[in-house]
Amino acid sequence: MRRRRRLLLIAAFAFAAPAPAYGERDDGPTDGRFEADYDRRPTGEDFARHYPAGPLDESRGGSAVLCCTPRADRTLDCRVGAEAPNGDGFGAAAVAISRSFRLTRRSYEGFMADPSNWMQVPIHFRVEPGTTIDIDAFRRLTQGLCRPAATPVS
Amino acid sequence: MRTAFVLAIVILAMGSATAQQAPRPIWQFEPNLQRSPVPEGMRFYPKEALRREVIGRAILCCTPRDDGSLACRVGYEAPVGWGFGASALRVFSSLMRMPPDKLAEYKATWPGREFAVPMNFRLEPDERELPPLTKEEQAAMCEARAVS
Repeated sequence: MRRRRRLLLIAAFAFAAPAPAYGERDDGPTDGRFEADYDRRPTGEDFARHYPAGPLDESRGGSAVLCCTPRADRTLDCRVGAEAPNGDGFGAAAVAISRSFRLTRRSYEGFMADPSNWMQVPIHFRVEPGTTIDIDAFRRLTQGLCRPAATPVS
Repeated sequence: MRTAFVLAIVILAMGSATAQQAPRPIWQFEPNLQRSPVPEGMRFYPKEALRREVIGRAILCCTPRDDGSLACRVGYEAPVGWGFGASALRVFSSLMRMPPDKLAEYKATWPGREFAVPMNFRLEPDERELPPLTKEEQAAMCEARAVS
């Protein structure tokens, strides 16, 4: 019980920091992704519910990058662009969590106004105390991953 | 139609304790990918990705076996779903050997330690680039770090 409470807090924190500020925290130039604003975001409870079971049991963290497009109701339609550690289920968990995003009306209209816009949403999971991947390295690795020219939408 | 592509095995990144004295294996390519990249490499580019002109990258985490062959797992691949990780595994499990002298040096210096091997899948001619990576960033995909 105690551990679960802690997980909720960490998950909420981990999400709050990287999602909107992703580009600003990278060392290199920003990759041109659309900077979205949300009026609804995943909560710590969403993270707790979808945290992959194996890594949670072993107190291991991980990250995923989602490539998303907004639906007409301003929620996101996302697929996994990358996950690390590979095969631990963080990608699928991130997709499940992404259902709780909703763009602000203004942000949605901004995205739709330019057909060259593209979205990339990083999701980080961690439990304290525990282990995780090097998030800065993962950020660098995934720069521009969802840019349409690099990854045609299937 | 793009018929040529570059199968670039970039830099070898050793494990977390990357120090100046870290050994740098010289790989024996069987057959030699560097000498004939197109006919050999073609077999290993994921087919659908090639058809759709998708570029990608995988980072494998490997340890050498006693015979110099490699036991690898996929530490990172992107974009997912195109088979870049699986293709990199096929390349490294079937083509790569660590020469005996490097194997002995590695086992003495880094017993049981994994090292990271990045593999880029790019097409030629193509101006698209994959983000350059330091050895530390590559190695980071094979490691877990403590958080508290």
